[in-house]
Amino acid sequence: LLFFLCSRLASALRGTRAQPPAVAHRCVHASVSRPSSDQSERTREPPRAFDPALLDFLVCPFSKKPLRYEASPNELINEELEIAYPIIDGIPNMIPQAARMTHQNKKKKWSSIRSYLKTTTHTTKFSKYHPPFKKPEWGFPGGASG
Amino acid sequence: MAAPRIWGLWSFCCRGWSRVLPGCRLPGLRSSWPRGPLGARPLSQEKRATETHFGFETVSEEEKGGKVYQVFESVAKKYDMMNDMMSLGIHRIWKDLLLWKMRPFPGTQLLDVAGGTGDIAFRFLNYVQAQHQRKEKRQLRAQQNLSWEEIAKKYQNEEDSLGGSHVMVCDINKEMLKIGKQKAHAQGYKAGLAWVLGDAEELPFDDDKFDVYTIAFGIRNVTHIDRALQEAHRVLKPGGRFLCLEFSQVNNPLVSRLYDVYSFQVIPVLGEVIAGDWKSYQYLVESIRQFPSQEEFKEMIEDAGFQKVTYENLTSGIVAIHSGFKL
Repeated sequence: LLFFLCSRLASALRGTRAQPPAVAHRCVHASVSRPSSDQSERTREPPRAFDPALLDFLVCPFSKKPLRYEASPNELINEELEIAYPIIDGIPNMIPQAARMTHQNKKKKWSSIRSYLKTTTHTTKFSKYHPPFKKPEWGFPGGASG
Repeated sequence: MAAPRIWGLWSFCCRGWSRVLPGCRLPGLRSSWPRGPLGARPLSQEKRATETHFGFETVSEEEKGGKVYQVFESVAKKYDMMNDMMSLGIHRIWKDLLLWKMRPFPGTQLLDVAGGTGDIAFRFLNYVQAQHQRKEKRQLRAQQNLSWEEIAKKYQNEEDSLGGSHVMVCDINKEMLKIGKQKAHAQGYKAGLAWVLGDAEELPFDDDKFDVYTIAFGIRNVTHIDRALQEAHRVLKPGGRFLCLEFSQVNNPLVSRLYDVYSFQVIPVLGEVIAGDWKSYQYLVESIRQFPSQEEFKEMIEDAGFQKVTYENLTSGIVAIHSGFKL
């Protein structure tokens, strides 16, 4: 165990690529598929493009509805609520507070959006997961404020 | 003015290593570090609805999110190195044990929440690839007499080395994700990995999407742990597994004393010397003390709807892996 620890620490401190921690007791090391010698192709910066395959997974955190990807402002748009989530360096920013209201929607306020959601899909989804026989002691998000 | 010691609680004057007694964690107590002993102010024993703890301080819930964000923003660049220094490299073994407990198979969809620098995600990808390669080796041994057409077909089909596995790394902190993405690029992880900025209490994913949900050393920083657990329950598929690796209560008294001394005397000093940030590492060790015990956290997970909830102590309880299933 000590040797194992020391070797791990040494490699980390040397700054070398960490050994893939495969199933050690079977002594199998994974060799991850890496671009072998194409150093010229490998850039220093990680890729910044957004992968549209993510759209299968991502939904709006408010209404849990699918989003539409807009390449020009590089945003993910929720048509129903008319809000847009920015994509920075290829990473979509899906934090609720980060959403920007699209230009058609300037008059609506955040509080009205959240109260609309509370009465429609949002709380019904949470109430589906409320265990019927045991009330949670630690609080329940039904009355959560933005 | 002598302060009456109540329940033998810590003395903030010496900012020492005193251990919070179990069951006496009252968030109404204020950190009186600049002001003096505890007994000088009236103690509120009830947990006020909008107040929570930030380490040993009491802050409002709105503030906590912002403060935690600042902590991780400042530690992001040296996060991995500090982890190695503070845990003497043992955190790698803990994370490996989490993966071995998970035993993912090719095709697993993993959601790693608060997985900023990608440790769990990379280990998952390695594990799944290793499994896939072992499967291929076994197949090769069994198929020694292939026809030329079959051999040609093997070269043509570029098989997905991950077998359809995919990991989504979600974190609330942009800096941590940036570091994670750079690490992934440096180590050559390309396929099967996605990065999303998201809040654990309001995940931007649809219901019943993931096979496994992991949160390693992140859930104690969430403001509303119950909401995060309910979101975890929501996004998991039926039959999905919830795994949480987190610092917990030590069960051995001797280890506990040593651990306290190490936590409060050594770690913030290391933080100051190496990362130049005493406060963040002070928050780190205090937040560990504020986190519920293994049994309490197990009950919280059960309340969120998970079943067959178990926990396993590692290193005599310094760290615990909680596991639950959505059935």
